[in-house]
Amino acid sequence: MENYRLLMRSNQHRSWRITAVFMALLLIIAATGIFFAIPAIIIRRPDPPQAVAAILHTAVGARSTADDYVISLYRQGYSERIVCVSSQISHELFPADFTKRNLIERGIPETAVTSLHLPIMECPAMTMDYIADFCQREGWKSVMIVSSPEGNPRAGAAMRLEFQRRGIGLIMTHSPEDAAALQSRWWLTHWKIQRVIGAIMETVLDTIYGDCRQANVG
Amino acid sequence: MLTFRSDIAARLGRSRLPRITLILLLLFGAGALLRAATPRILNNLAERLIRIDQPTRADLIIALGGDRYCLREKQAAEFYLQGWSTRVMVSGVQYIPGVHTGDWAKNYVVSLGVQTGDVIVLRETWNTREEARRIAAMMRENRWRTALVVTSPYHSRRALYSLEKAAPDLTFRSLPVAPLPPEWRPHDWWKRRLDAGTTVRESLAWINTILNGWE
Repeated sequence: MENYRLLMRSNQHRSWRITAVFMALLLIIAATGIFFAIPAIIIRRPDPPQAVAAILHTAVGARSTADDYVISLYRQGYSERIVCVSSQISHELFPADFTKRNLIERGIPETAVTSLHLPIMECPAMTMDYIADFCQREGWKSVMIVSSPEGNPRAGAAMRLEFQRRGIGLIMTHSPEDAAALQSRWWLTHWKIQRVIGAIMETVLDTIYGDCRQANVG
Repeated sequence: MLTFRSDIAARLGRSRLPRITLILLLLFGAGALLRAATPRILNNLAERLIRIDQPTRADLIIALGGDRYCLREKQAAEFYLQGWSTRVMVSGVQYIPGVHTGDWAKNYVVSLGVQTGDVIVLRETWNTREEARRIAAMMRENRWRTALVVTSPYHSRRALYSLEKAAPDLTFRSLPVAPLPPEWRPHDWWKRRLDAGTTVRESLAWINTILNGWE
Protein backbone atom coordinates (compact mmCIF):
# COMPACT_ATOMS: atom_id res chain seq x y z
CA MET A 1 0.00 0.00 0.00
CA GLU A 2 2.80 2.34 1.04
CA ASN A 3 4.71 1.47 -2.14
CA TYR A 4 1.63 2.18 -4.23
CA ARG A 5 1.29 5.64 -2.61
CA LEU A 6 4.94 6.44 -3.24
CA LEU A 7 4.59 5.32 -6.84
CA MET A 8 1.50 7.48 -7.31
CA ARG A 9 3.25 10.48 -5.76
CA SER A 10 6.31 10.07 -7.97
CA ASN A 11 4.07 9.69 -11.05
CA GLN A 12 2.24 12.85 -10.05
CA HIS A 13 5.54 14.74 -9.70
CA ARG A 14 6.68 13.42 -13.05
CA SER A 15 3.48 14.53 -14.78
CA TRP A 16 3.85 18.02 -13.25
CA ARG A 17 7.42 18.18 -14.45
CA ILE A 18 6.43 17.05 -17.96
CA THR A 19 3.62 19.63 -18.03
CA ALA A 20 6.00 22.37 -16.87
CA VAL A 21 8.61 21.47 -19.50
CA PHE A 22 5.92 21.26 -22.19
CA MET A 23 4.51 24.66 -21.20
CA ALA A 24 7.99 26.22 -21.17
CA LEU A 25 8.66 24.80 -24.62
CA LEU A 26 5.35 26.13 -25.90
CA LEU A 27 6.17 29.55 -24.45
CA ILE A 28 9.60 29.57 -26.10
CA ILE A 29 8.12 28.52 -29.47
CA ALA A 30 5.39 31.17 -29.22
CA ALA A 31 7.89 33.88 -28.23
CA THR A 32 10.22 32.90 -31.07
CA GLY A 33 7.30 32.88 -33.52
CA ILE A 34 6.15 36.31 -32.41
CA PHE A 35 9.74 37.67 -32.53
CA PHE A 36 10.29 36.63 -36.14
CA ALA A 37 6.77 37.72 -37.15
CA ILE A 38 7.23 41.25 -35.80
CA PRO A 39 8.08 42.90 -39.14
CA ALA A 40 5.15 41.15 -40.78
CA ILE A 41 2.93 42.63 -38.05
CA ILE A 42 4.29 46.17 -38.18
CA ILE A 43 4.70 46.45 -41.95
CA ARG A 44 1.52 47.85 -43.40
CA ARG A 45 -0.12 46.08 -46.30
CA PRO A 46 0.16 48.62 -49.14
CA ASP A 47 -2.98 49.69 -50.98
CA PRO A 48 -2.93 49.10 -54.73
CA PRO A 49 -1.98 52.39 -56.46
CA GLN A 50 -4.77 54.44 -58.02
CA ALA A 51 -4.90 57.72 -59.94
CA VAL A 52 -4.86 60.56 -57.39
CA ALA A 53 -4.57 64.33 -57.28
CA ALA A 54 -1.16 64.19 -55.57
CA ILE A 55 1.49 61.79 -54.31
CA LEU A 56 2.74 62.70 -50.82
CA HIS A 57 6.27 61.38 -50.46
CA THR A 58 6.91 61.05 -46.72
CA ALA A 59 9.52 58.28 -46.92
CA VAL A 60 12.25 60.88 -47.04
CA GLY A 61 15.32 59.72 -45.20
CA ALA A 62 18.43 57.68 -44.87
CA ARG A 63 18.33 54.18 -46.33
CA SER A 64 15.15 54.76 -48.30
CA THR A 65 14.73 53.87 -51.95
CA ALA A 66 11.29 55.44 -52.06
CA ASP A 67 12.45 58.15 -54.49
CA ASP A 68 12.67 55.47 -57.23
CA TYR A 69 9.21 54.21 -56.33
CA VAL A 70 7.68 57.71 -56.36
CA ILE A 71 9.27 58.41 -59.75
CA SER A 72 7.87 55.15 -61.13
CA LEU A 73 4.39 56.00 -59.82
CA TYR A 74 4.62 59.42 -61.45
CA ARG A 75 5.81 57.98 -64.75
CA GLN A 76 3.02 55.41 -64.72
CA GLY A 77 0.61 58.34 -64.61
CA TYR A 78 -0.90 57.85 -61.16
CA SER A 79 -0.53 61.56 -60.46
CA GLU A 80 0.82 64.75 -61.97
CA ARG A 81 1.87 66.23 -58.66
CA ILE A 82 4.41 65.15 -56.01
CA VAL A 83 4.82 66.69 -52.57
CA CYS A 84 7.97 65.78 -50.60
CA VAL A 85 7.20 65.93 -46.88
CA SER A 86 9.54 66.03 -43.89
CA SER A 87 10.26 67.73 -40.61
CA GLN A 88 13.67 69.22 -39.83
CA ILE A 89 16.60 66.95 -38.95
CA SER A 90 19.02 69.76 -38.10
CA HIS A 91 18.80 73.54 -37.81
CA GLU A 92 16.41 74.55 -40.62
CA LEU A 93 17.43 71.47 -42.59
CA PHE A 94 14.43 69.82 -44.22
CA PRO A 95 15.39 66.71 -46.23
CA ALA A 96 12.19 67.15 -48.25
CA ASP A 97 13.84 70.08 -50.05
CA PHE A 98 16.74 67.87 -51.13
CA THR A 99 14.47 65.01 -52.12
CA LYS A 100 12.54 67.48 -54.28
CA ARG A 101 15.85 68.52 -55.90
CA ASN A 102 16.79 64.88 -56.46
CA LEU A 103 13.46 64.14 -58.16
CA ILE A 104 13.89 67.15 -60.44
CA GLU A 105 17.44 66.08 -61.31
CA ARG A 106 16.05 62.69 -62.24
CA GLY A 107 13.61 64.08 -64.73
CA ILE A 108 10.44 65.06 -62.88
CA PRO A 109 9.31 68.50 -64.14
CA GLU A 110 10.05 71.27 -61.65
CA THR A 111 6.43 72.42 -61.77
CA ALA A 112 5.24 68.98 -60.65
CA VAL A 113 7.21 68.83 -57.36
CA THR A 114 6.90 70.86 -54.18
CA SER A 115 8.00 70.30 -50.60
CA LEU A 116 6.08 70.56 -47.35
CA HIS A 117 7.86 71.38 -44.08
CA LEU A 118 6.35 69.71 -41.05
CA PRO A 119 6.83 71.18 -37.59
CA ILE A 120 8.19 68.78 -34.94
CA MET A 121 5.11 67.57 -33.13
CA GLU A 122 4.18 65.66 -29.99
CA CYS A 123 2.56 62.70 -31.73
CA PRO A 124 1.94 61.32 -35.23
CA ALA A 125 -1.75 62.23 -34.98
CA MET A 126 -0.81 65.91 -34.98
CA THR A 127 1.36 65.39 -38.05
CA MET A 128 -1.50 63.59 -39.75
CA ASP A 129 -3.82 66.48 -38.98
CA TYR A 130 -1.29 68.94 -40.40
CA ILE A 131 -0.99 66.95 -43.65
CA ALA A 132 -4.77 66.55 -43.92
CA ASP A 133 -5.20 70.33 -43.46
CA PHE A 134 -2.67 70.93 -46.23
CA CYS A 135 -4.48 68.57 -48.63
CA GLN A 136 -7.81 70.19 -47.81
CA ARG A 137 -6.39 73.66 -48.47
CA GLU A 138 -5.09 72.43 -51.83
CA GLY A 139 -8.60 71.19 -52.64
CA TRP A 140 -7.48 67.64 -53.41
CA LYS A 141 -10.09 64.89 -53.34
CA SER A 142 -7.66 62.00 -53.37
CA VAL A 143 -4.02 61.54 -52.36
CA MET A 144 -1.52 58.71 -52.23
CA ILE A 145 0.89 58.67 -49.28
CA VAL A 146 4.18 56.89 -49.91
CA SER A 147 5.57 56.31 -46.42
CA SER A 148 8.18 54.10 -44.79
CA PRO A 149 6.89 50.52 -44.63
CA GLU A 150 6.68 50.16 -40.86
CA GLY A 151 3.93 51.81 -38.90
CA ASN A 152 1.20 51.62 -36.38
CA PRO A 153 -1.90 49.90 -37.87
CA ARG A 154 -4.23 51.83 -35.56
CA ALA A 155 -2.70 55.15 -36.56
CA GLY A 156 -3.07 54.11 -40.20
CA ALA A 157 -6.76 53.37 -39.70
CA ALA A 158 -7.25 56.66 -37.84
CA MET A 159 -5.54 58.51 -40.67
CA ARG A 160 -7.81 56.91 -43.23
CA LEU A 161 -10.89 57.90 -41.20
CA GLU A 162 -9.65 61.46 -40.76
CA PHE A 163 -9.05 61.91 -44.49
CA GLN A 164 -12.42 60.31 -45.22
CA ARG A 165 -14.08 62.75 -42.79
CA ARG A 166 -12.59 65.61 -44.80
CA GLY A 167 -13.78 64.08 -48.06
CA ILE A 168 -10.32 63.05 -49.25
CA GLY A 169 -9.72 59.55 -50.58
CA LEU A 170 -6.50 58.11 -49.17
CA ILE A 171 -4.21 55.46 -50.65
CA MET A 172 -1.36 54.36 -48.36
CA THR A 173 1.59 52.59 -49.86
CA HIS A 174 5.35 52.18 -49.58
CA SER A 175 8.31 51.13 -51.67
CA PRO A 176 8.44 47.31 -51.98
CA GLU A 177 12.26 47.53 -51.88
CA ASP A 178 12.12 49.39 -48.56
CA ALA A 179 9.84 46.72 -47.11
CA ALA A 180 12.08 43.91 -48.34
CA ALA A 181 15.21 45.63 -46.98
CA LEU A 182 13.62 46.13 -43.57
CA GLN A 183 12.50 42.51 -43.33
CA SER A 184 15.77 40.97 -44.42
CA ARG A 185 17.70 39.71 -41.36
CA TRP A 186 16.34 42.62 -39.38
CA TRP A 187 17.40 41.21 -36.03
CA LEU A 188 21.08 41.54 -36.97
CA THR A 189 21.19 45.20 -37.96
CA HIS A 190 21.13 48.18 -35.62
CA TRP A 191 19.05 50.56 -37.80
CA LYS A 192 16.48 47.86 -38.59
CA ILE A 193 16.12 46.95 -34.92
CA GLN A 194 15.77 50.66 -34.14
CA ARG A 195 13.01 51.04 -36.72
CA VAL A 196 11.19 47.91 -35.58
CA ILE A 197 11.35 48.94 -31.91
CA GLY A 198 10.36 52.47 -32.89
CA ALA A 199 7.23 51.21 -34.65
CA ILE A 200 6.29 49.00 -31.70
CA MET A 201 6.84 51.89 -29.32
CA GLU A 202 4.72 54.24 -31.41
CA THR A 203 1.90 51.70 -31.25
CA VAL A 204 2.21 51.37 -27.47
CA LEU A 205 2.50 55.13 -26.94
CA ASP A 206 -0.49 55.76 -29.19
CA THR A 207 -2.50 53.37 -27.04
CA ILE A 208 -1.36 54.85 -23.72
CA TYR A 209 -1.53 58.49 -24.80
CA GLY A 210 -4.84 58.18 -26.61
CA ASP A 211 -5.70 61.74 -25.60
CA CYS A 212 -2.93 63.03 -27.90
CA ARG A 213 -4.53 61.11 -30.74
CA GLN A 214 -8.11 62.08 -29.82
CA ALA A 215 -7.34 65.75 -29.26
CA ASN A 216 -5.96 66.16 -32.74
CA VAL A 217 -8.12 63.91 -34.85
CA GLY A 218 -11.06 66.21 -35.02
CA MET B 1 -9.54 12.58 18.72
CA LEU B 2 -12.28 13.88 16.46
CA THR B 3 -13.34 16.42 19.08
CA PHE B 4 -9.76 17.56 19.53
CA ARG B 5 -9.32 18.12 15.73
CA SER B 6 -12.59 20.06 15.45
CA ASP B 7 -11.52 22.18 18.34
CA ILE B 8 -8.26 23.09 16.61
CA ALA B 9 -10.07 23.76 13.34
CA ALA B 10 -12.53 26.01 15.11
CA ARG B 11 -9.72 27.93 16.79
CA LEU B 12 -7.86 28.29 13.51
CA GLY B 13 -11.03 29.45 11.81
CA ARG B 14 -11.54 32.08 14.46
CA SER B 15 -7.95 33.25 14.35
CA ARG B 16 -7.82 33.26 10.49
CA LEU B 17 -10.21 36.19 10.13
CA PRO B 18 -8.01 38.81 11.80
CA ARG B 19 -4.95 37.37 10.04
CA ILE B 20 -6.58 37.79 6.62
CA THR B 21 -7.64 41.29 7.58
CA LEU B 22 -4.08 42.04 8.62
CA ILE B 23 -2.69 40.69 5.33
CA LEU B 24 -5.22 42.74 3.34
CA LEU B 25 -4.38 45.85 5.34
CA LEU B 26 -0.67 45.26 4.76
CA LEU B 27 -1.24 44.73 1.05
CA PHE B 28 -3.38 47.86 0.85
CA GLY B 29 -0.74 49.83 2.76
CA ALA B 30 2.05 48.55 0.52
CA GLY B 31 -0.04 49.40 -2.56
CA ALA B 32 -0.72 52.91 -1.30
CA LEU B 33 2.95 53.39 -0.43
CA LEU B 34 4.02 52.16 -3.84
CA ARG B 35 1.51 54.44 -5.52
CA ALA B 36 2.78 57.40 -3.56
CA ALA B 37 6.43 56.49 -4.18
CA THR B 38 6.15 55.65 -7.90
CA PRO B 39 6.39 59.24 -9.21
CA ARG B 40 9.49 59.82 -7.08
CA ILE B 41 11.06 56.57 -8.26
CA LEU B 42 10.32 57.35 -11.92
CA ASN B 43 11.60 60.93 -11.60
CA ASN B 44 14.70 59.68 -9.85
CA LEU B 45 15.37 57.07 -12.52
CA ALA B 46 15.02 59.67 -15.28
CA GLU B 47 17.31 62.11 -13.47
CA ARG B 48 19.92 59.35 -13.32
CA LEU B 49 20.15 59.48 -17.10
CA ILE B 50 21.71 62.94 -16.76
CA ARG B 51 25.36 63.55 -15.96
CA ILE B 52 26.59 67.08 -15.34
CA ASP B 53 30.25 67.87 -14.59
CA GLN B 54 32.03 71.08 -13.72
CA PRO B 55 33.36 72.83 -16.84
CA THR B 56 37.12 73.26 -17.21
CA ARG B 57 39.24 74.53 -20.09
CA ALA B 58 39.61 71.73 -22.60
CA ASP B 59 41.30 70.85 -25.88
CA LEU B 60 37.97 70.75 -27.66
CA ILE B 61 34.21 70.98 -27.27
CA ILE B 62 32.24 68.11 -28.78
CA ALA B 63 28.60 68.53 -29.84
CA LEU B 64 27.30 65.00 -30.36
CA GLY B 65 25.10 64.46 -33.39
CA GLY B 66 21.43 63.62 -33.61
CA ASP B 67 19.71 66.76 -32.34
CA ARG B 68 16.92 67.96 -34.63
CA TYR B 69 16.82 71.34 -32.91
CA CYS B 70 20.63 71.77 -32.93
CA LEU B 71 20.56 72.79 -29.28
CA ARG B 72 23.74 70.76 -28.70
CA GLU B 73 25.59 72.67 -31.40
CA LYS B 74 24.21 75.96 -30.10
CA GLN B 75 25.48 75.25 -26.58
CA ALA B 76 28.86 74.09 -27.90
CA ALA B 77 29.18 77.40 -29.78
CA GLU B 78 28.32 79.31 -26.61
CA PHE B 79 31.06 77.48 -24.67
CA TYR B 80 33.50 78.26 -27.48
CA LEU B 81 32.58 81.94 -27.41
CA GLN B 82 32.98 81.93 -23.60
CA GLY B 83 36.55 80.70 -24.11
CA TRP B 84 36.35 77.16 -22.67
CA SER B 85 38.14 75.81 -25.74
CA THR B 86 39.50 76.86 -29.13
CA ARG B 87 37.92 74.02 -31.13
CA VAL B 88 34.44 72.68 -31.72
CA MET B 89 33.73 69.22 -33.06
CA VAL B 90 30.33 68.50 -34.62
CA SER B 91 29.22 65.21 -36.10
CA GLY B 92 26.67 63.85 -38.50
CA VAL B 93 25.77 61.39 -41.22
CA GLN B 94 25.06 61.35 -44.95
CA TYR B 95 21.30 61.50 -44.48
CA ILE B 96 20.30 61.54 -48.14
CA PRO B 97 22.30 62.34 -51.29
CA GLY B 98 23.42 65.94 -51.00
CA VAL B 99 22.65 66.26 -47.30
CA HIS B 100 25.31 65.66 -44.67
CA THR B 101 24.03 66.67 -41.26
CA GLY B 102 27.62 67.23 -40.07
CA ASP B 103 28.22 69.91 -42.72
CA TRP B 104 24.91 71.49 -41.80
CA ALA B 105 25.88 71.52 -38.11
CA LYS B 106 29.21 73.12 -39.04
CA ASN B 107 27.47 75.88 -40.98
CA TYR B 108 25.19 76.46 -38.02
CA VAL B 109 28.00 76.87 -35.44
CA VAL B 110 29.88 79.13 -37.86
CA SER B 111 26.73 81.25 -38.19
CA LEU B 112 26.78 81.56 -34.38
CA GLY B 113 30.31 83.01 -34.39
CA VAL B 114 32.68 80.02 -34.31
CA GLN B 115 35.66 80.44 -36.69
CA THR B 116 35.38 78.08 -39.69
CA GLY B 117 38.95 76.83 -39.12
CA ASP B 118 38.09 75.88 -35.53
CA VAL B 119 35.30 73.48 -36.50
CA ILE B 120 35.96 69.79 -37.05
CA VAL B 121 33.33 67.58 -38.66
CA LEU B 122 33.18 63.95 -37.60
CA ARG B 123 31.48 61.85 -40.29
CA GLU B 124 29.33 58.74 -40.43
CA THR B 125 28.48 58.51 -36.75
CA TRP B 126 25.35 56.41 -36.84
CA ASN B 127 25.29 55.53 -33.16
CA THR B 128 26.83 56.62 -29.86
CA ARG B 129 29.41 53.85 -29.51
CA GLU B 130 30.65 54.29 -33.06
CA GLU B 131 30.81 58.04 -32.47
CA ALA B 132 32.76 57.46 -29.23
CA ARG B 133 35.32 55.28 -30.98
CA ARG B 134 35.82 57.81 -33.79
CA ILE B 135 36.15 60.68 -31.32
CA ALA B 136 38.72 58.71 -29.31
CA ALA B 137 40.73 57.92 -32.45
CA MET B 138 40.66 61.52 -33.64
CA MET B 139 41.63 62.88 -30.22
CA ARG B 140 44.59 60.49 -29.92
CA GLU B 141 45.71 61.27 -33.45
CA ASN B 142 45.78 64.99 -32.67
CA ARG B 143 47.14 64.52 -29.12
CA TRP B 144 44.09 66.16 -27.56
CA ARG B 145 43.62 64.99 -23.99
CA THR B 146 40.47 66.71 -22.70
CA ALA B 147 37.02 67.43 -24.11
CA LEU B 148 33.79 69.03 -23.00
CA VAL B 149 30.89 66.92 -24.26
CA VAL B 150 27.58 68.59 -25.11
CA THR B 151 24.58 66.43 -25.76
CA SER B 152 20.92 66.14 -24.81
CA PRO B 153 20.34 65.65 -21.07
CA TYR B 154 18.80 62.16 -21.40
CA HIS B 155 21.77 61.04 -23.52
CA SER B 156 24.55 62.52 -21.38
CA ARG B 157 25.31 59.65 -19.00
CA ARG B 158 25.30 57.00 -21.72
CA ALA B 159 27.41 59.16 -24.04
CA LEU B 160 30.00 59.68 -21.33
CA TYR B 161 29.92 55.99 -20.44
CA SER B 162 30.61 55.11 -24.10
CA LEU B 163 33.37 57.73 -24.44
CA GLU B 164 35.12 56.76 -21.22
CA LYS B 165 34.91 53.10 -22.20
CA ALA B 166 36.33 53.82 -25.66
CA ALA B 167 39.09 56.06 -24.29
CA PRO B 168 39.92 55.53 -20.62
CA ASP B 169 43.17 57.45 -21.19
CA LEU B 170 41.35 60.67 -22.15
CA THR B 171 39.32 63.07 -20.02
CA PHE B 172 35.71 63.96 -20.84
CA ARG B 173 33.40 66.33 -19.05
CA SER B 174 29.67 66.25 -19.52
CA LEU B 175 27.89 69.57 -20.01
CA PRO B 176 24.48 68.68 -21.41
CA VAL B 177 21.83 71.00 -22.76
CA ALA B 178 19.40 72.16 -20.05
CA PRO B 179 16.34 69.92 -19.69
CA LEU B 180 13.91 72.60 -20.78
CA PRO B 181 11.40 72.65 -23.68
CA PRO B 182 11.75 71.74 -26.48
CA GLU B 183 14.29 69.36 -24.89
CA TRP B 184 13.35 66.29 -22.93
CA ARG B 185 12.44 66.93 -19.30
CA PRO B 186 12.87 64.31 -16.57
CA HIS B 187 10.22 65.70 -14.19
CA ASP B 188 6.93 63.80 -14.65
CA TRP B 189 8.20 62.48 -18.00
CA TRP B 190 5.49 59.80 -18.17
CA LYS B 191 2.83 62.53 -18.50
CA ARG B 192 4.17 63.64 -21.91
CA ARG B 193 4.14 61.31 -24.89
CA LEU B 194 7.36 62.58 -26.43
CA ASP B 195 9.33 62.48 -23.18
CA ALA B 196 7.93 59.05 -22.30
CA GLY B 197 9.07 57.72 -25.66
CA THR B 198 12.51 59.26 -25.23
CA THR B 199 12.92 57.89 -21.70
CA VAL B 200 11.93 54.35 -22.68
CA ARG B 201 14.08 54.44 -25.82
CA GLU B 202 17.06 55.69 -23.83
CA SER B 203 16.56 52.94 -21.23
CA LEU B 204 16.57 50.34 -24.01
CA ALA B 205 19.68 51.95 -25.50
CA TRP B 206 21.36 51.67 -22.10
CA ILE B 207 20.60 47.94 -21.97
CA ASN B 208 21.96 47.55 -25.50
CA THR B 209 25.11 49.49 -24.61
CA ILE B 210 25.80 47.53 -21.44
CA LEU B 211 25.26 44.23 -23.23
CA ASN B 212 27.49 45.47 -26.06
CA GLY B 213 24.64 44.69 -28.44
CA TRP B 214 23.64 46.08 -31.86
CA GLU B 215 25.54 49.00 -33.31
